[in-house]
Amino acid sequence: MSIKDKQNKNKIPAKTAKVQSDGRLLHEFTKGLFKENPSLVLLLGLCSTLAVTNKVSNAIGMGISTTFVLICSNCIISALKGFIPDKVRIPAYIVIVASFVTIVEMILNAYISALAKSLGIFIPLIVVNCIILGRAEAFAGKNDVLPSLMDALGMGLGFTMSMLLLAFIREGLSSLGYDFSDYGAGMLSFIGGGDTLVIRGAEVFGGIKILGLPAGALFVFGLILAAINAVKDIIRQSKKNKSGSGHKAAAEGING
Amino acid sequence: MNKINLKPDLNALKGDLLIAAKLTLICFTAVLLLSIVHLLTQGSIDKNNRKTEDMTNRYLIADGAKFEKSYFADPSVHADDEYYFIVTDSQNEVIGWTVSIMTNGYGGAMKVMVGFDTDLIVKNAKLLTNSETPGVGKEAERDEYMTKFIGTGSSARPIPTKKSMLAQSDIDTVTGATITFNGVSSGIVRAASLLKSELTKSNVTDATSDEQEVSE
Repeated sequence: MSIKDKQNKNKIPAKTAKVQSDGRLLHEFTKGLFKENPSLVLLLGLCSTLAVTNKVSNAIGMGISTTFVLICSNCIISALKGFIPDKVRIPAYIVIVASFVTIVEMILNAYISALAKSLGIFIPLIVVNCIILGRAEAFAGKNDVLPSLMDALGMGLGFTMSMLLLAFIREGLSSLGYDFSDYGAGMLSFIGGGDTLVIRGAEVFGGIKILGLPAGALFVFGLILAAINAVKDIIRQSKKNKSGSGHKAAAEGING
Repeated sequence: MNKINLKPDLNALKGDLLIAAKLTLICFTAVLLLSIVHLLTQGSIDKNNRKTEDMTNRYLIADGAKFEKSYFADPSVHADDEYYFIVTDSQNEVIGWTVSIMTNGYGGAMKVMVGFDTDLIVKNAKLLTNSETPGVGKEAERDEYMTKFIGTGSSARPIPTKKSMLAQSDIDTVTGATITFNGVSSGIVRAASLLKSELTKSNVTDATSDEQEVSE
């Protein structure tokens, strides 16, 4: 067999390579949603997660802003990975991330000023959000643009999802409704207007106010983590049982 | 005897210069991008700021029908951020002034707007642009926070600049955010003093022009 024939034999067919590449891209996207969710599994970016989730509208705004910055910074850092000198990579990353955060801040101030006011200091603080710098350092600086884009999309959506989960529970239970006035919409109340359940003139229930406060954020976040760990334990246990019964059946088969 | 090599390592110097040049290029591109976005969004941001200012004026002096913007004659005042509005009622009578003033809090620069009546007594105040800590200094944005300044500004009841000048219930709202309180109160004091000197100057100018008219 000639060398050329050997090379042709080792070459992966174009179709297989595409399937492998698609599979990798899908993996990069989905890992941020569940397996490596930045807030609920990696426990990154918790300052802003706990601080802005008192309202669903804040969580949506913060999630979209962070995802936008994450996508832009990951793509640029990945494209410039050969250009950025290793010695000054962190300052270079911070300049890139800070630029996109400033752009987000200007856009919010110009077009959704109520949301910009509501999120306040947490928008400029995206610059030092450890999810963004973490993805830049751990992923975008070492990978191509397309996987970096998928990684940013997955991580951004995962971050937004976890903030939404937290905000839905907190705002729903503390205000008995959801306030979307920052987006020009009204209040979506569970009890038909107002924030207190009144029966025959008596105020019966005004919501669990502590959940709207920082202490409530920690409490709800802790409960969600406990629930996730419990589900993980159940899955692990059922897998163990399955593999145990599989081994037992195999052993019985051999003995039989 | 060892000789000290004073000759610079040209290769290392070249490498460092290249790194600096690359970082400079990244910064330059970032500035260019930000300038473009700034140009595109500045119009809308200014419009929003004007809208906020208009709403604040109406909140500070609810009886006002017309708010005419004026600038302080004092050259030390930064005219872009610090100015005042002459407030007139429906009969075109001056019923007060609102002053926009810049001051410093815990998170840096803060913009405060203060409404005064014709006796230069504080009618109300509002904290606008600021970077104070949410849940702490940011509480000064609440309408209730400014009640401690309402009605102050006379010699009998001066504008509170220290915690000791406040009632116990007001001290509780300030505790933990003393720097914000100091910033807001010094801003209000400065607004009152600028407005007072501005009105004194304009009174002197009016009196001089009246005298000139009489002598002619």
